[in-house]
Amino acid sequence: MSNYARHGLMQAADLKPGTPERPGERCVVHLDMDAYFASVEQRDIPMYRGKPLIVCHTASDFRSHGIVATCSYEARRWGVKTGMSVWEARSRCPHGVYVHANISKYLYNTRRIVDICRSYTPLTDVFSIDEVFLDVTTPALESGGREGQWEAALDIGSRLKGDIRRQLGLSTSVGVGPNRLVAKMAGEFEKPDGLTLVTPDQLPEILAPLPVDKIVGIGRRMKRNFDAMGVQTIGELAGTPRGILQRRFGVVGTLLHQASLGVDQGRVGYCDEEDTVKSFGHSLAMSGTTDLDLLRNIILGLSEAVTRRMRRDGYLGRTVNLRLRIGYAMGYSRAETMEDYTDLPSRIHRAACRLLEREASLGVWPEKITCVGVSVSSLKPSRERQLSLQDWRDPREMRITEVQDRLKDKYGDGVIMRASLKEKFALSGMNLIR
Amino acid sequence: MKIKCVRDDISAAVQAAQRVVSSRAIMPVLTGVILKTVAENIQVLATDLEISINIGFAASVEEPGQVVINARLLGDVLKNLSAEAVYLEKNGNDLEINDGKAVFKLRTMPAEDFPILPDVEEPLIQELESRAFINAISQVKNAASRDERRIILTGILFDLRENGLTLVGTDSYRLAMRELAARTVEIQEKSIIVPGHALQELSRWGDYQKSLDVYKSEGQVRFVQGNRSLTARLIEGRFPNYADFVPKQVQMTVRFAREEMEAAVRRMSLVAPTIVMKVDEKNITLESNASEVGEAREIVAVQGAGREMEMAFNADYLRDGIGAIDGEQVEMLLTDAEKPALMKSTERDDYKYVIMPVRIKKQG
Repeated sequence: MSNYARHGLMQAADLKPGTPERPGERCVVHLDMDAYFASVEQRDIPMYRGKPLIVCHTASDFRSHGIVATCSYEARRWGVKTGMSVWEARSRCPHGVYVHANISKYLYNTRRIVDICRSYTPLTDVFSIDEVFLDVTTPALESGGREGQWEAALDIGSRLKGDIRRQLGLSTSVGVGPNRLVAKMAGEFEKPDGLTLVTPDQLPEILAPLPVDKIVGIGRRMKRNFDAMGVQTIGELAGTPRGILQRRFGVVGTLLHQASLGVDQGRVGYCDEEDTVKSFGHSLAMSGTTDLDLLRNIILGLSEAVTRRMRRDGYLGRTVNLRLRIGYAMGYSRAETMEDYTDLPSRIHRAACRLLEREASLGVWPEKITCVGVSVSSLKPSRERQLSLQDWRDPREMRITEVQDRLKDKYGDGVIMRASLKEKFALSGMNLIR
Repeated sequence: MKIKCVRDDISAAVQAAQRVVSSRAIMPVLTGVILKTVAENIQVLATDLEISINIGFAASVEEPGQVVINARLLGDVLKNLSAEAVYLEKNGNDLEINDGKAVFKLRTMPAEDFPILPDVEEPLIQELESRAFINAISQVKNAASRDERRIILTGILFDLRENGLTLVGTDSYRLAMRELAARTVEIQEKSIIVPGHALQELSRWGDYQKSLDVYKSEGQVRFVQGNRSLTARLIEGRFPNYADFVPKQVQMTVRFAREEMEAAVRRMSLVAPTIVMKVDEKNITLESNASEVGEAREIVAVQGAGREMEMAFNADYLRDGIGAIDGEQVEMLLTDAEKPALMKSTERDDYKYVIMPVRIKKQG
């Protein structure tokens, strides 16, 4: 590590509201489920245990399209990774066990995990389906005092792991740190079944040598930018003057510079309040087609799935966004804002089809369509809905949808569906409603 | 061109013409008004290609001619002159304005660039009574849509029949219709859709002494009142069949005092945009609440309520309707919480306002 970088980090430590002489150092725990979907399946079905298990999001068979949602550690040894296409996974691990993702089951488990977390502190943020942040500052201070705060936090992390293992039979990796960013990075050090603490004092030595893409938010593209700037490690990023990053990347530059110093101003436990829903979307990957009728039909299925979730969560939407992936590299989206707010599938479907037909008529698709997505934004709550004169003259779709929703709520989503969707989506993950 | 005229005449004409001049005109010449001599009259004309306004006034014409000049500049200059009489003279590319004290030389625009406006001469309606017509417009125009994506609904339907005319405005949530006696001239097309903003302009024509004549030609309509006229491009398309949207079977009719209800609705709307109406034997209880603001409640005495009913409406839509009704007593015809309500005066049947309720999902 260069002196420059070290200097930068020391400065950060001085600035940070968490150096020993300052009160109010926070203890944040990051909980990450190990190979979550695969672990749940292996727990429930003994046959899968010890085998390379690959849980996939796919519409039909495991041959053509779809992606790997999660795979067990056994499968990872064969080079299978999350997000990989199913056929690539197959070529790497042909003897693996391939199963469909059962999202509602995992969500049920997530809810149980969150309940366990909330028994430690109400300041809990569900970050994703398999990640939770907990602010344990208060319980840690209560049991450990200011000196023993970090040991106490580590102890909470260990008890949390134990509770989840005992109650749900699932293994977790836990990171403990002074903020979300550091806690998450700490958790990455040891997986699976890890428990790692990074205190503010250790921050400079631990962060500096790590490659930049260990920071949340630096992906492949950002890494390429940093490679071009000659910045490879977090220490080097910290040593880069903030002004340069700001000019190059704007607000993100400032945030990344802060992140490289282990600074994260975000609070845990306020996420749910600020986090209002902005859009609802579904997409379907497929082997590639240019058949407009098929695409229209897929869009119908997606529109049904999207609007069902909107109705369940109580939203009406006005802007329809159609996302298309052409071949395997190019993707783009087009949007249309409708005259009126709706949560009915036919209106979303019509708008998305208009967008599709317009794009198709331009004749600019160099390859087949491999993924279609429909999302609806410009949302407002549906608690109060201004009825229109047209709703009164022709209430059929509204009525039918209401009846369908009631049936699905009672008997499950497969109980009723459009005949035109029966073949294509019978196995699809699309109709799985959270 | 060389003229002498009364400052108030020309100033008023230019101000009125100025209102159609768009600030985002697509051609520079459209930021201007054209002044033209026609015998012993001056015509002031402005257009945004959708609507054009033509206003005439008497003047003493010494030399005929025409000139195009920036509308706002001319309007501001005329407004600020102090003398009663104004001389205007075109010299080369400048228009000289002189009131005896102040002298302006304003640059003009080439008159030949000004678009030629269509002749709209085919009589449609003759001698409409201005006051009744303008009142009718104000009764229906609030119900029209302002959403440019529903271009048809931004217009007002003129549905013509022998000796009569029905004006209809709707934004699909409410519908206002007004019937009017009119001397209609026999025509092929029975109905036209006139842009809402053209009628907005028309509703400022307060000279009720003069009657209005309506002309049409291919895709255009023209309203003439005395020496002023307004031409607008008609909206093409099919207007919803309004008769379908008037509820025919109703469960009950309640009657209330218009002003009392309008004031109560306005008070309730201070808290939330949606008002719940609870009808019982003698009263309507109005309620509004917004969890983060608070609640409000008011009771209005009514007659004729047969049974209990509860429904909710958008407060603005409700007020637009109640406010547009002529007469002191209003009749409200109700069916149920998801069907339209109809409001009209108890004394007359020529105005109807149909309003769709707001459906409120019960919590939980």
